Amino acid sequence: MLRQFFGVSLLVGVLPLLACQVISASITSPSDWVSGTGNSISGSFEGLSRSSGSGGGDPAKLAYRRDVRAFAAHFARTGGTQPEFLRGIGAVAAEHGVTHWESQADTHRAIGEGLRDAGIDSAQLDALTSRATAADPAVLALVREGYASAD
Amino acid sequence: MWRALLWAALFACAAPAARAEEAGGLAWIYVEANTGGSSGGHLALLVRDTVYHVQQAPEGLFQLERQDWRTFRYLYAGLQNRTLVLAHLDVAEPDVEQAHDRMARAYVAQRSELDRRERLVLDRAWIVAWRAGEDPPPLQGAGLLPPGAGEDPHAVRLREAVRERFGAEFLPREIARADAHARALGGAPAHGIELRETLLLRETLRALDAGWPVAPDAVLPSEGLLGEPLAPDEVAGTERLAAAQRDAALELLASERPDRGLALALAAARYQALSRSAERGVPVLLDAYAGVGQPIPASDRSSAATWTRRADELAAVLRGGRPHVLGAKRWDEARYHLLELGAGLWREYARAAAGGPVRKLPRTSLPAPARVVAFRPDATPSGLAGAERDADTALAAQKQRLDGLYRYGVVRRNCVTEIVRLLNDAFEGEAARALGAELEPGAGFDFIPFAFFDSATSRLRVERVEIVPSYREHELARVLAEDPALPRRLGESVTFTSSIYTPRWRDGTFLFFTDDVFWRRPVLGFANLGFAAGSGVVGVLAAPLDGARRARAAGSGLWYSLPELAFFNIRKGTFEWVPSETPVQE
Repeated sequence: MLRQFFGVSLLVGVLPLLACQVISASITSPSDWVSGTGNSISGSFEGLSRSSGSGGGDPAKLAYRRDVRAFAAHFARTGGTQPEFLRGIGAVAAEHGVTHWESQADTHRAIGEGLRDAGIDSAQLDALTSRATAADPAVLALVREGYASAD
Repeated sequence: MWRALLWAALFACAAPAARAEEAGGLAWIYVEANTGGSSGGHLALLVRDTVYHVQQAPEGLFQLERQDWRTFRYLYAGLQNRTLVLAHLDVAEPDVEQAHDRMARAYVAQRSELDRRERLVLDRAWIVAWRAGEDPPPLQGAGLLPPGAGEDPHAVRLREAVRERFGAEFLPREIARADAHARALGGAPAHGIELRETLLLRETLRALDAGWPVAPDAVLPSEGLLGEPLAPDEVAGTERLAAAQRDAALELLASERPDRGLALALAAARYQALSRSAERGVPVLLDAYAGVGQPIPASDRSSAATWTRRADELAAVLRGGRPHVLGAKRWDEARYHLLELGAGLWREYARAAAGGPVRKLPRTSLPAPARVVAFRPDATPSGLAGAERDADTALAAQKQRLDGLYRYGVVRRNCVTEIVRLLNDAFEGEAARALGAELEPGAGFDFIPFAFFDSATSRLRVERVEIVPSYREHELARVLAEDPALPRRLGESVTFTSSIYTPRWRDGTFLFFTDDVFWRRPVLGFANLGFAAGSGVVGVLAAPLDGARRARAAGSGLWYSLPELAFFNIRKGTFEWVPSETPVQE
């Protein structure tokens, strides 16, 4: 009994010490935080210099496409209005430094991939695209291309 | 186990160091404890070159964070001086992809929920301002192209292009349409986001129609690095990119996106900036950090010499990267934005190096300064009171939703359990096949990072264990390899005589490092305790003069000396600056 009490007391005592990092404390100082920002930007810049002229496989583009795909899949599962979907894509794109996402073929392909991930079958995709009468046929073709390419 | 591996690795002949980013698979990362962070260490998951980890966020929530491996290593092993232990898992390629997708989905989903909360907070703030008879809060993005400064010649050219494409009446008609739509939306919180989008669109259309120039404080000054002339290729490139921005603005004018106002304002502002660049032969860039970030208190700021080193390091990278961006054949918004971010940050570093203020700036920030756009809905006081109640209800519901989804718990929902849940979830019941075993979130003591890491490495299919030494450990090995004599060893073991470490108040007061010793740890811990106690006495006397800085450091010194008496080490010291490439060993 006493041992059990001691064990529990010890656990309660040290529990706060075992807590996960607090966001504000994870970087030891705001100066370090800003330094980390610089390191991250430098890394992306160096990656950019390396990938220039090397063709595909740009990690930044892959990351962008993955996030758009993830958002499209999440949205298709949870639902929402068309403006909410467009705003959501805008927010995801903005995190990658992209505001004019409509001009990027990767965006539309990734949306197609995300729809496939969410379990939208081809009949549902046909229904969705047939409702989008105002949409550019080239954009719809990219969405279909992405859908078809997804595993 | 990894301590032995670490020292073997550090003192072994230096074989070419393996780098985690080359492995490109899946690895658990255990981050050793230090002061200021979690005393039980920290846990993260490396998926290819992206690190996912969970941290405690305000309001009792947990938050999934994401960083590139290079930055994670720099912050944790470098500045925070914590050894990282990586357990690389033997996982098939498609399973790595599956895990990456699952993590990305969780990250994006949480951001989406948090964004929604921010929108609802703004909805409420606008209504509260209207009720108080005040202007609404500043509208983000509206400060890029403000009224009142006459016409800009480049803006006039853009207006001509718009008129040529859509006709002379297009802009006035669209402005009237946006204005009418804003009035029709009124003050209902359900339309808050739509109202702000409509107002920003209207203001941007007005700027296009009137040829307003970019706000001077939205542009970085062409000084120092930013005043270095463009090469002929870059001048030609900026002309191409300006044309691309003109085309983007025209496309966005035809778009039906509800949030196109910001994208349009940015395209128009960048068109002006790029046109000026080509005209003047120096880069003219929008300030991605205009109006962003709180100033860092003087007591938390690094020294001017450190900011100079950071500025110099970043300048070298920017000089190398700039021609790739400005000389590009095709417009790439993400790359161009990276240049804006880098230039904005360099300016902050350079200003801090000159003794100026410095802000805590994020990795992502669009150039979108805010401006107050006067608007008052046609609503009665009771209508606004009802709107505020609705806004409160919607915000409370979202907070409750967040609470249900992301409530942090020390034992059941923490930095270990949530990553484990996500990883299990990625394989939809096939985690045992993919990883070698299915991990139970928080089983036994596995909610503690180091306990989980031990458990995971023994149960999962681990391909290899990699050690990334803390910065001091790495430097110590290098220094002692050059001069292994006893005086040097003794000198490096004391904080005040170390050639590697410079004592910092934030680390607390301590005399001896104890992270690289074991049997001597209690003795050294006792010495640290005495030293901190003595420093505390001085600190109490000096408190009126130094704002109790020394006394607080002594308190921390006493606290973190206690575990050392029982052979545990938490405190390792931290660094104000380390080279951007932190060491890696296998």
